[in-house]
Amino acid sequence: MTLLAIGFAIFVAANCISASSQESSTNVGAKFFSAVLLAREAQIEGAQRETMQELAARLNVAVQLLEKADEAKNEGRLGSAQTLLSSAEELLEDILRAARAEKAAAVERASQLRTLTIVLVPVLSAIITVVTGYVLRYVRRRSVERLFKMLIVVKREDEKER
Amino acid sequence: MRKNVSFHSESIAIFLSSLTILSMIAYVSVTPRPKEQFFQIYVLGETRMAEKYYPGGNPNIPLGVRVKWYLGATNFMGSLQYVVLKVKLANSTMSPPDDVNKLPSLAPMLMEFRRVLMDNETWEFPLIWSIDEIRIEGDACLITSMIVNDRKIFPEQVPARRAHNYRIIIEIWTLDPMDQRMIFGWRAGNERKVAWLQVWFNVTMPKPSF
Repeated sequence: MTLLAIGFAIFVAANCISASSQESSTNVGAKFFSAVLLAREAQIEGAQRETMQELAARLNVAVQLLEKADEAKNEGRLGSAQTLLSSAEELLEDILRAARAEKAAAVERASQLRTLTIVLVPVLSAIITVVTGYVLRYVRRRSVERLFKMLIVVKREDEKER
Repeated sequence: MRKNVSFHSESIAIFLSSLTILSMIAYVSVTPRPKEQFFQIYVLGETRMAEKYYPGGNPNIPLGVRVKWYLGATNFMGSLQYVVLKVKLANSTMSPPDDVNKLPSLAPMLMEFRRVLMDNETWEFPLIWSIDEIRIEGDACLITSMIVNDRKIFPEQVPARRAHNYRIIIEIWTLDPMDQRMIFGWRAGNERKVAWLQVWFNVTMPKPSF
């Protein structure tokens, strides 16, 4: 009877470990998907290439940890699988934090660039207008001066002829 | 007075023209150019070229003989992507992936390879496989065990008449940002696209022992 009870307890405990491992595996899987999508969003917002490379490398480490956890689970090494899943989860939380920060920074950079562009365009236009105005006035003055000089030369030649 | 009016209208014209031109330049430089989004997948032979897919150029693969291929995928999606390459074993009667309805093949999977790829990144890795055991049932041959990248795999039953016309199908799956799940192929804007490859082979039947 006691043996039966011990057997039942072991069976229940193994099932509990297996269920909790499965649940945490699902959670980690969802977290992995979120991390990939967040990193992707950060890149679309214009995150820097070096940061993205670092994020991709860390995500690949997480992929390897998840694969090893799967392997350990299939081989019945539930404790090892749980440890690997915990490491993957920790890493994914780090990646999520980094991706979130990078996305915010990229959004900030993009907004600064937009503001700078909005300010720069009219300022540059004003500068171009002023410079072009001066150049035009200078060119016109020069042509008038040349015309006057020509007229003076013609008049002097006329006077000489007389 | 007239000279002043003409000078002002000229300045306004210059200002408006430069404003228009500069706005257009700014818009073009700030807005990213739309480009076609796609993945490329390939299988190469043992020389890492599109040749020598079978040992000795013979598609009849004997038991225990190692076949070496290189699988590759390149991400041209413009952003980081999570990619899974699924390697499946099929016979000639199993339906291949459906390009029209974007459905994967129902053939049993041998192995899957996962990787996060940067934009423009190519991922290439060796796929070394051999047929470990087969079972003969009348006219049909069943591959009961294979070794893929040093891992023993027991594929689901895929019978082939006289061990002919087996094929290995390679499908690309990606993480769909809209549904947050893995999908066969990928989503480019509102469009779904798929890509897959297959390589045919025969299994050399062992001579009957008396």
